[in-house]
Amino acid sequence: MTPDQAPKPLDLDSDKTHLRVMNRLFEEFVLEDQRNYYLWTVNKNDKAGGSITIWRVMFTLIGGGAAILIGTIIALAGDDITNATRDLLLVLSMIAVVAPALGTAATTISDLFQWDRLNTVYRAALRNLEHADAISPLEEMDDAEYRDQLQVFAQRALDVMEYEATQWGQLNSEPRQTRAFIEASQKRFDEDQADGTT
Amino acid sequence: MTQQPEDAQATPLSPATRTRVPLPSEIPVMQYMERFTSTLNRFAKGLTPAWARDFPQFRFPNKPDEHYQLIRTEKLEALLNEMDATEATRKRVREDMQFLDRELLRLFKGRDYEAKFHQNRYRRFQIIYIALAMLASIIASLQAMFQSRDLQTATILAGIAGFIALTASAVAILGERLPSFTFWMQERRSAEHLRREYYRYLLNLPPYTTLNLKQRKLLLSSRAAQISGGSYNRPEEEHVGGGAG
Repeated sequence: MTPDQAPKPLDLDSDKTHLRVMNRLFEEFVLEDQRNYYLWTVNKNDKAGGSITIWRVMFTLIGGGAAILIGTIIALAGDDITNATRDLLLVLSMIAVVAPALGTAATTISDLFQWDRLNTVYRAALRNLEHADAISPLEEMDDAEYRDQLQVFAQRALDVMEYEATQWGQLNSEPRQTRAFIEASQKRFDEDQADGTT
Repeated sequence: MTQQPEDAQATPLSPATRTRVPLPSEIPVMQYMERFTSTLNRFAKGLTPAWARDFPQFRFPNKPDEHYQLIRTEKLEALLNEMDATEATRKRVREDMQFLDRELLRLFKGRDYEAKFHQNRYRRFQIIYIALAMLASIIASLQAMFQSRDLQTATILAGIAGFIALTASAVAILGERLPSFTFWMQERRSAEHLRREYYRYLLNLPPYTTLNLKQRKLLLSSRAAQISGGSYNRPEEEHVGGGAG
Protein backbone atom coordinates (compact mmCIF):
# COMPACT_ATOMS: atom_id res chain seq x y z
CA MET A 1 0.00 0.00 0.00
CA THR A 2 1.50 3.36 -1.06
CA PRO A 3 1.26 6.40 1.22
CA ASP A 4 -1.40 7.87 -1.09
CA GLN A 5 -3.55 4.79 -0.58
CA ALA A 6 -3.29 4.73 3.20
CA PRO A 7 -6.55 5.77 4.91
CA LYS A 8 -5.99 9.28 6.13
CA PRO A 9 -8.70 11.91 6.72
CA LEU A 10 -8.45 14.90 4.44
CA ASP A 11 -6.35 17.69 5.93
CA LEU A 12 -9.01 20.35 5.47
CA ASP A 13 -11.49 18.56 7.70
CA SER A 14 -9.72 19.84 10.78
CA ASP A 15 -9.45 23.39 9.40
CA LYS A 16 -12.13 25.54 11.00
CA THR A 17 -12.27 28.01 8.09
CA HIS A 18 -13.04 25.17 5.73
CA LEU A 19 -15.58 23.73 8.15
CA ARG A 20 -17.30 27.11 8.47
CA VAL A 21 -17.64 27.27 4.69
CA MET A 22 -19.06 23.73 4.68
CA ASN A 23 -21.51 24.63 7.44
CA ARG A 24 -22.69 27.70 5.58
CA LEU A 25 -22.90 25.76 2.33
CA PHE A 26 -25.05 23.11 3.99
CA GLU A 27 -27.29 25.64 5.72
CA GLU A 28 -27.81 27.70 2.60
CA PHE A 29 -27.95 25.13 -0.19
CA VAL A 30 -29.45 22.17 1.60
CA LEU A 31 -31.33 23.18 4.73
CA GLU A 32 -32.70 26.50 3.47
CA ASP A 33 -33.44 25.08 0.05
CA GLN A 34 -35.30 22.14 1.56
CA ARG A 35 -37.16 24.39 4.01
CA ASN A 36 -38.25 26.66 1.14
CA TYR A 37 -39.39 23.64 -0.83
CA TYR A 38 -41.49 22.38 2.09
CA LEU A 39 -42.99 25.82 2.70
CA TRP A 40 -43.81 26.28 -0.98
CA THR A 41 -45.35 22.79 -1.21
CA VAL A 42 -47.40 23.21 1.99
CA ASN A 43 -48.73 26.53 0.68
CA LYS A 44 -49.52 25.09 -2.77
CA ASN A 45 -51.15 21.96 -1.29
CA ASP A 46 -53.20 24.03 1.15
CA LYS A 47 -54.59 26.09 -1.70
CA ALA A 48 -55.23 23.04 -3.89
CA GLY A 49 -56.79 20.97 -1.06
CA GLY A 50 -58.90 23.95 0.05
CA SER A 51 -60.18 24.80 -3.41
CA ILE A 52 -61.06 21.21 -4.34
CA THR A 53 -62.99 20.86 -1.06
CA ILE A 54 -64.99 23.98 -1.95
CA TRP A 55 -65.78 22.48 -5.36
CA ARG A 56 -66.86 19.21 -3.73
CA VAL A 57 -69.17 21.07 -1.35
CA MET A 58 -70.55 23.15 -4.22
CA PHE A 59 -71.34 20.11 -6.34
CA THR A 60 -72.99 18.38 -3.36
CA LEU A 61 -75.12 21.46 -2.68
CA ILE A 62 -76.02 21.97 -6.33
CA GLY A 63 -76.91 18.29 -6.86
CA GLY A 64 -78.83 18.04 -3.60
CA GLY A 65 -80.54 21.42 -4.19
CA ALA A 66 -81.66 20.34 -7.67
CA ALA A 67 -83.10 17.08 -6.27
CA ILE A 68 -84.99 18.97 -3.53
CA LEU A 69 -86.37 21.43 -6.11
CA ILE A 70 -87.54 18.59 -8.36
CA GLY A 71 -89.43 17.01 -5.46
CA THR A 72 -90.94 20.34 -4.40
CA ILE A 73 -92.04 21.33 -7.92
CA ILE A 74 -93.66 17.95 -8.56
CA ALA A 75 -95.46 18.10 -5.22
CA LEU A 76 -96.71 21.65 -5.81
CA ALA A 77 -97.73 21.16 -9.44
CA GLY A 78 -99.57 17.89 -8.84
CA ASP A 79 -101.19 16.75 -12.12
CA ASP A 80 -101.10 20.25 -13.55
CA ILE A 81 -97.62 20.21 -15.13
CA THR A 82 -97.18 22.78 -17.89
CA ASN A 83 -94.59 22.60 -20.68
CA ALA A 84 -92.49 25.26 -18.95
CA THR A 85 -92.50 23.22 -15.73
CA ARG A 86 -91.56 20.09 -17.68
CA ASP A 87 -88.58 21.93 -19.25
CA LEU A 88 -87.54 23.22 -15.85
CA LEU A 89 -87.74 19.70 -14.40
CA LEU A 90 -85.60 18.40 -17.25
CA VAL A 91 -82.92 21.01 -16.59
CA LEU A 92 -83.01 20.29 -12.85
CA SER A 93 -82.80 16.56 -13.50
CA MET A 94 -79.71 17.10 -15.64
CA ILE A 95 -78.13 19.15 -12.86
CA ALA A 96 -79.07 16.46 -10.31
CA VAL A 97 -77.31 13.92 -12.51
CA VAL A 98 -74.20 15.87 -13.50
CA ALA A 99 -73.36 17.58 -10.18
CA PRO A 100 -72.83 14.37 -8.11
CA ALA A 101 -70.68 12.94 -10.93
CA LEU A 102 -68.52 16.10 -10.86
CA GLY A 103 -68.37 15.86 -7.06
CA THR A 104 -67.14 12.26 -7.28
CA ALA A 105 -64.53 13.30 -9.87
CA ALA A 106 -63.33 16.05 -7.51
CA THR A 107 -63.06 13.51 -4.66
CA THR A 108 -61.02 11.16 -6.86
CA ILE A 109 -58.72 14.01 -7.94
CA SER A 110 -58.21 14.84 -4.27
CA ASP A 111 -57.38 11.18 -3.56
CA LEU A 112 -54.99 11.10 -6.50
CA PHE A 113 -52.93 14.12 -5.41
CA GLN A 114 -53.30 13.60 -1.62
CA TRP A 115 -52.69 17.30 -0.92
CA ASP A 116 -53.99 17.32 2.65
CA ARG A 117 -52.33 14.08 3.74
CA LEU A 118 -49.00 15.02 2.17
CA ASN A 119 -49.10 18.32 3.99
CA THR A 120 -49.03 16.52 7.34
CA VAL A 121 -45.74 14.90 6.24
CA TYR A 122 -44.27 18.20 5.01
CA ARG A 123 -45.32 20.06 8.16
CA ALA A 124 -43.71 17.38 10.33
CA ALA A 125 -40.57 17.55 8.15
CA LEU A 126 -40.48 21.35 8.58
CA ARG A 127 -40.62 20.99 12.37
CA ASN A 128 -37.94 18.30 12.31
CA LEU A 129 -35.71 20.49 10.16
CA GLU A 130 -36.02 23.21 12.80
CA HIS A 131 -34.86 20.68 15.40
CA ALA A 132 -31.94 19.71 13.20
CA ASP A 133 -31.06 23.37 12.66
CA ALA A 134 -31.00 23.89 16.40
CA ILE A 135 -27.93 21.66 16.71
CA SER A 136 -25.81 23.43 14.09
CA PRO A 137 -22.23 24.09 15.28
CA LEU A 138 -21.39 27.24 17.24
CA GLU A 139 -18.55 29.67 16.56
CA GLU A 140 -17.32 29.21 20.15
CA MET A 141 -16.57 25.52 19.59
CA ASP A 142 -13.00 24.36 19.05
CA ASP A 143 -12.05 22.76 15.73
CA ALA A 144 -12.67 19.14 16.72
CA GLU A 145 -15.96 19.96 18.42
CA TYR A 146 -17.04 22.07 15.44
CA ARG A 147 -16.30 19.24 12.99
CA ASP A 148 -18.17 16.65 15.08
CA GLN A 149 -21.13 18.95 15.59
CA LEU A 150 -21.29 19.77 11.88
CA GLN A 151 -21.43 16.07 11.11
CA VAL A 152 -24.19 15.42 13.65
CA PHE A 153 -26.16 18.43 12.41
CA ALA A 154 -25.83 17.53 8.71
CA GLN A 155 -26.61 13.87 9.38
CA ARG A 156 -29.75 14.83 11.34
CA ALA A 157 -30.96 17.08 8.51
CA LEU A 158 -30.33 14.36 5.92
CA ASP A 159 -32.22 11.88 8.13
CA VAL A 160 -35.21 14.25 8.19
CA MET A 161 -35.14 14.37 4.39
CA GLU A 162 -34.91 10.59 4.21
CA TYR A 163 -37.80 10.09 6.62
CA GLU A 164 -39.95 12.56 4.70
CA ALA A 165 -39.20 10.74 1.42
CA THR A 166 -40.17 7.39 3.00
CA GLN A 167 -43.43 8.80 4.37
CA TRP A 168 -44.19 10.41 1.01
CA GLY A 169 -43.72 7.04 -0.73
CA GLN A 170 -46.06 5.32 1.73
CA LEU A 171 -48.80 7.92 1.29
CA ASN A 172 -48.94 7.68 -2.48
CA SER A 173 -51.23 5.03 -3.85
CA GLU A 174 -53.60 4.56 -6.73
CA PRO A 175 -57.10 5.91 -5.89
CA ARG A 176 -59.42 2.94 -5.26
CA GLN A 177 -62.19 4.65 -7.29
CA THR A 178 -60.22 4.52 -10.55
CA ARG A 179 -59.18 0.88 -9.92
CA ALA A 180 -62.84 -0.05 -9.27
CA PHE A 181 -63.90 1.82 -12.43
CA ILE A 182 -61.33 0.02 -14.62
CA GLU A 183 -62.40 -3.35 -13.23
CA ALA A 184 -66.09 -2.55 -13.75
CA SER A 185 -65.41 -1.34 -17.32
CA GLN A 186 -63.43 -4.46 -18.15
CA LYS A 187 -66.22 -6.63 -16.71
CA ARG A 188 -68.84 -4.76 -18.72
CA PHE A 189 -66.70 -4.96 -21.86
CA ASP A 190 -66.31 -8.73 -21.38
CA GLU A 191 -70.05 -9.12 -20.84
CA ASP A 192 -70.83 -7.04 -23.95
CA GLN A 193 -68.42 -9.18 -25.94
CA ALA A 194 -70.00 -12.37 -24.59
CA ASP A 195 -73.48 -11.03 -25.46
CA GLY A 196 -72.29 -10.16 -28.96
CA THR A 197 -70.85 -13.60 -29.66
CA THR A 198 -73.83 -15.65 -28.35
CA MET B 1 -41.13 6.18 -59.64
CA THR B 2 -38.16 8.46 -60.40
CA GLN B 3 -34.50 7.77 -59.76
CA GLN B 4 -33.96 11.16 -58.12
CA PRO B 5 -33.39 10.02 -54.53
CA GLU B 6 -30.75 7.48 -55.61
CA ASP B 7 -29.01 10.06 -57.84
CA ALA B 8 -29.03 12.53 -55.02
CA GLN B 9 -27.43 9.95 -52.78
CA ALA B 10 -24.82 9.02 -55.35
CA THR B 11 -23.69 12.60 -56.02
CA PRO B 12 -23.71 14.71 -52.86
CA LEU B 13 -24.30 18.42 -53.31
CA SER B 14 -21.23 20.59 -53.68
CA PRO B 15 -20.48 22.97 -50.77
CA ALA B 16 -21.62 25.88 -52.95
CA THR B 17 -25.09 24.41 -53.53
CA ARG B 18 -25.48 22.84 -50.08
CA THR B 19 -27.49 25.05 -47.74
CA ARG B 20 -27.85 24.47 -44.03
CA VAL B 21 -31.40 23.80 -42.85
CA PRO B 22 -32.13 26.42 -40.17
CA LEU B 23 -33.16 25.30 -36.72
CA PRO B 24 -36.75 26.19 -35.70
CA SER B 25 -35.35 28.62 -33.13
CA GLU B 26 -33.58 30.54 -35.92
CA ILE B 27 -36.74 31.22 -37.96
CA PRO B 28 -38.28 34.62 -36.99
CA VAL B 29 -41.87 33.39 -37.39
CA MET B 30 -41.10 30.44 -35.11
CA GLN B 31 -39.50 32.80 -32.59
CA TYR B 32 -42.67 34.92 -32.53
CA MET B 33 -44.80 31.79 -32.23
CA GLU B 34 -42.68 30.53 -29.35
CA ARG B 35 -42.91 33.88 -27.54
CA PHE B 36 -46.68 33.98 -28.15
CA THR B 37 -47.12 30.41 -26.84
CA SER B 38 -45.01 31.05 -23.76
CA THR B 39 -46.98 34.26 -22.99
CA LEU B 40 -50.21 32.33 -23.47
CA ASN B 41 -48.95 29.54 -21.19
CA ARG B 42 -48.01 32.06 -18.48
CA PHE B 43 -51.45 33.66 -18.78
CA ALA B 44 -53.18 30.26 -18.66
CA LYS B 45 -51.10 29.25 -15.64
CA GLY B 46 -52.27 32.37 -13.83
CA LEU B 47 -55.87 31.46 -14.54
CA THR B 48 -55.50 27.79 -13.62
CA PRO B 49 -57.16 26.96 -10.28
CA ALA B 50 -54.82 25.73 -7.53
CA TRP B 51 -56.14 22.16 -7.71
CA ALA B 52 -55.38 21.91 -11.43
CA ARG B 53 -51.75 23.06 -11.20
CA ASP B 54 -50.47 19.55 -10.43
CA PHE B 55 -52.23 18.15 -13.47
CA PRO B 56 -50.06 16.19 -15.91
CA GLN B 57 -48.59 17.71 -19.03
CA PHE B 58 -49.60 16.25 -22.35
CA ARG B 59 -46.33 17.37 -23.94
CA PHE B 60 -43.53 16.16 -21.70
CA PRO B 61 -39.88 17.07 -22.47
CA ASN B 62 -38.09 14.15 -24.12
CA LYS B 63 -34.82 14.51 -22.23
CA PRO B 64 -33.58 15.71 -18.83
CA ASP B 65 -32.55 19.33 -18.29
CA GLU B 66 -28.81 19.10 -18.92
CA HIS B 67 -28.07 22.40 -17.20
CA TYR B 68 -29.69 21.42 -13.91
CA GLN B 69 -27.40 21.67 -10.87
CA LEU B 70 -28.11 20.78 -7.26
CA ILE B 71 -25.93 23.69 -6.20
CA ARG B 72 -25.64 26.54 -8.70
CA THR B 73 -22.02 27.36 -9.46
CA GLU B 74 -22.52 31.14 -9.41
CA LYS B 75 -24.26 31.00 -6.02
CA LEU B 76 -21.49 28.79 -4.66
CA GLU B 77 -18.80 31.16 -5.94
CA ALA B 78 -20.66 34.08 -4.36
CA LEU B 79 -20.73 32.25 -1.04
CA LEU B 80 -17.01 31.37 -1.25
CA ASN B 81 -16.20 35.03 -1.95
CA GLU B 82 -18.49 36.27 0.80
CA MET B 83 -16.85 33.93 3.32
CA ASP B 84 -13.40 34.81 2.08
CA ALA B 85 -12.61 31.10 1.67
CA THR B 86 -8.99 30.04 1.42
CA GLU B 87 -7.56 28.80 -1.87
CA ALA B 88 -7.32 25.27 -0.45
CA THR B 89 -11.03 25.27 0.43
CA ARG B 90 -12.02 26.68 -2.97
CA LYS B 91 -9.91 24.06 -4.72
CA ARG B 92 -11.36 21.22 -2.65
CA VAL B 93 -14.98 22.34 -3.10
CA ARG B 94 -14.55 22.86 -6.85
CA GLU B 95 -12.82 19.51 -7.31
CA ASP B 96 -15.53 17.75 -5.31
CA MET B 97 -18.26 19.46 -7.32
CA GLN B 98 -16.60 18.57 -10.60
CA PHE B 99 -16.25 14.97 -9.53
CA LEU B 100 -19.84 14.88 -8.29
CA ASP B 101 -21.06 16.37 -11.57
CA ARG B 102 -19.28 13.65 -13.49
CA GLU B 103 -20.04 10.67 -11.26
CA LEU B 104 -23.31 11.43 -9.52
CA LEU B 105 -25.20 14.36 -10.99
CA ARG B 106 -25.67 12.77 -14.41
CA LEU B 107 -27.21 9.73 -12.66
CA PHE B 108 -29.38 12.00 -10.51
CA LYS B 109 -30.63 13.86 -13.59
CA GLY B 110 -31.48 10.55 -15.24
CA ARG B 111 -33.35 9.16 -12.22
CA ASP B 112 -35.08 12.48 -11.56
CA TYR B 113 -36.21 12.73 -15.19
CA GLU B 114 -37.48 9.14 -15.19
CA ALA B 115 -39.38 9.77 -11.93
CA LYS B 116 -41.02 12.88 -13.38
CA PHE B 117 -41.78 11.11 -16.65
CA HIS B 118 -43.51 8.19 -14.91
CA GLN B 119 -45.29 10.47 -12.45
CA ASN B 120 -46.64 12.45 -15.40
CA ARG B 121 -47.60 9.30 -17.31
CA TYR B 122 -49.31 7.75 -14.29
CA ARG B 123 -51.27 10.91 -13.55
CA ARG B 124 -52.21 11.35 -17.20
CA PHE B 125 -53.82 7.91 -17.24
CA GLN B 126 -55.51 8.54 -13.88
CA ILE B 127 -57.02 11.80 -15.14
CA ILE B 128 -58.33 10.00 -18.24
CA TYR B 129 -59.88 7.30 -15.99
CA ILE B 130 -61.47 9.96 -13.78
CA ALA B 131 -62.96 11.74 -16.82
CA LEU B 132 -64.27 8.45 -18.22
CA ALA B 133 -65.68 7.39 -14.84
CA MET B 134 -67.46 10.74 -14.56
CA LEU B 135 -68.93 10.37 -18.05
CA ALA B 136 -69.96 6.77 -17.34
CA SER B 137 -71.70 7.85 -14.15
CA ILE B 138 -73.60 10.65 -15.94
CA ILE B 139 -74.63 8.36 -18.78
CA ALA B 140 -75.79 5.63 -16.36
CA SER B 141 -77.95 8.16 -14.46
CA LEU B 142 -79.41 9.54 -17.69
CA GLN B 143 -80.08 6.03 -18.89
CA ALA B 144 -82.01 5.25 -15.71
CA MET B 145 -83.92 8.52 -16.14
CA PHE B 146 -84.95 7.80 -19.72
CA GLN B 147 -85.64 4.09 -19.23
CA SER B 148 -89.34 4.62 -18.41
CA ARG B 149 -89.91 7.70 -20.62
CA ASP B 150 -88.04 7.23 -23.87
CA LEU B 151 -86.76 3.76 -24.66
CA GLN B 152 -84.94 4.87 -27.82
CA THR B 153 -82.87 7.48 -25.97
CA ALA B 154 -82.19 4.95 -23.22
CA THR B 155 -80.92 2.47 -25.84
CA ILE B 156 -78.62 5.12 -27.38
CA LEU B 157 -77.31 5.97 -23.90
CA ALA B 158 -76.67 2.26 -23.23
CA GLY B 159 -74.61 2.19 -26.43
CA ILE B 160 -72.62 5.23 -25.30
CA ALA B 161 -72.04 3.55 -21.91
CA GLY B 162 -70.74 0.48 -23.70
CA PHE B 163 -68.43 2.65 -25.78
CA ILE B 164 -67.08 4.32 -22.60
CA ALA B 165 -66.43 0.88 -21.06
CA LEU B 166 -64.61 -0.13 -24.24
CA THR B 167 -62.50 3.06 -24.20
CA ALA B 168 -61.66 2.55 -20.50
CA SER B 169 -60.57 -1.04 -21.19
CA ALA B 170 -58.40 0.09 -24.12
CA VAL B 171 -56.83 2.91 -22.07
CA ALA B 172 -56.20 0.43 -19.21
CA ILE B 173 -54.37 -1.91 -21.61
CA LEU B 174 -52.21 1.01 -22.81
CA GLY B 175 -51.59 2.19 -19.25
CA GLU B 176 -50.64 -1.23 -17.93
CA ARG B 177 -47.93 -1.69 -20.57
CA LEU B 178 -45.59 0.10 -18.16
CA PRO B 179 -46.22 0.06 -14.39
CA SER B 180 -45.66 3.81 -14.17
CA PHE B 181 -46.68 4.11 -10.54
CA THR B 182 -44.07 1.55 -9.42
CA PHE B 183 -41.42 3.08 -11.68
CA TRP B 184 -42.24 6.57 -10.37
CA MET B 185 -41.77 5.44 -6.76
CA GLN B 186 -38.54 3.52 -7.52
CA GLU B 187 -36.98 6.30 -9.59
CA ARG B 188 -37.94 9.00 -7.08
CA ARG B 189 -36.44 6.91 -4.27
CA SER B 190 -33.19 6.52 -6.20
CA ALA B 191 -33.11 10.22 -7.11
CA GLU B 192 -33.61 11.29 -3.49
CA HIS B 193 -30.91 8.86 -2.30
CA LEU B 194 -28.54 10.28 -4.91
CA ARG B 195 -29.36 13.83 -3.81
CA ARG B 196 -28.49 12.99 -0.21
CA GLU B 197 -25.34 11.15 -1.32
CA TYR B 198 -24.25 14.31 -3.13
CA TYR B 199 -24.37 16.33 0.10
CA ARG B 200 -22.93 13.46 2.10
CA TYR B 201 -19.83 13.43 -0.12
CA LEU B 202 -19.50 17.18 -0.27
CA LEU B 203 -19.60 17.49 3.52
CA ASN B 204 -17.44 14.43 4.03
CA LEU B 205 -20.06 12.66 6.13
CA PRO B 206 -19.96 8.91 6.79
CA PRO B 207 -19.04 6.71 4.95
CA TYR B 208 -16.54 9.21 3.44
CA THR B 209 -15.17 10.59 6.71
CA THR B 210 -12.05 8.56 7.28
CA LEU B 211 -10.98 7.93 3.71
CA ASN B 212 -8.20 9.34 1.58
CA LEU B 213 -8.92 11.15 -1.67
CA LYS B 214 -8.72 8.14 -3.94
CA GLN B 215 -10.80 5.86 -1.70
CA ARG B 216 -13.37 8.57 -1.31
CA LYS B 217 -13.77 8.96 -5.05
CA LEU B 218 -13.94 5.23 -5.64
CA LEU B 219 -16.53 4.81 -2.92
CA LEU B 220 -18.69 7.60 -4.31
CA SER B 221 -18.59 6.16 -7.84
CA SER B 222 -19.52 2.74 -6.54
CA ARG B 223 -22.30 3.95 -4.20
CA ALA B 224 -23.76 6.27 -6.86
CA ALA B 225 -23.91 3.40 -9.36
CA GLN B 226 -25.51 1.11 -6.73
CA ILE B 227 -28.12 3.70 -5.75
CA SER B 228 -28.91 4.45 -9.37
CA GLY B 229 -29.43 0.71 -9.87
CA GLY B 230 -31.85 0.59 -6.93
CA SER B 231 -29.58 -0.83 -4.21
CA TYR B 232 -29.30 1.28 -1.08
CA ASN B 233 -26.60 0.52 1.47
CA ARG B 234 -26.77 2.62 4.60
CA PRO B 235 -23.50 4.51 5.23
CA GLU B 236 -22.80 2.50 8.37
CA GLU B 237 -23.17 -0.72 6.37
CA GLU B 238 -20.48 0.39 3.94
CA HIS B 239 -17.22 -1.54 4.24
CA VAL B 240 -14.29 0.03 2.52
CA GLY B 241 -11.78 -2.73 1.95
CA GLY B 242 -8.65 -2.34 -0.09
CA GLY B 243 -10.73 -0.38 -2.60
CA ALA B 244 -7.90 1.96 -3.36
CA GLY B 245 -5.14 -0.45 -2.69
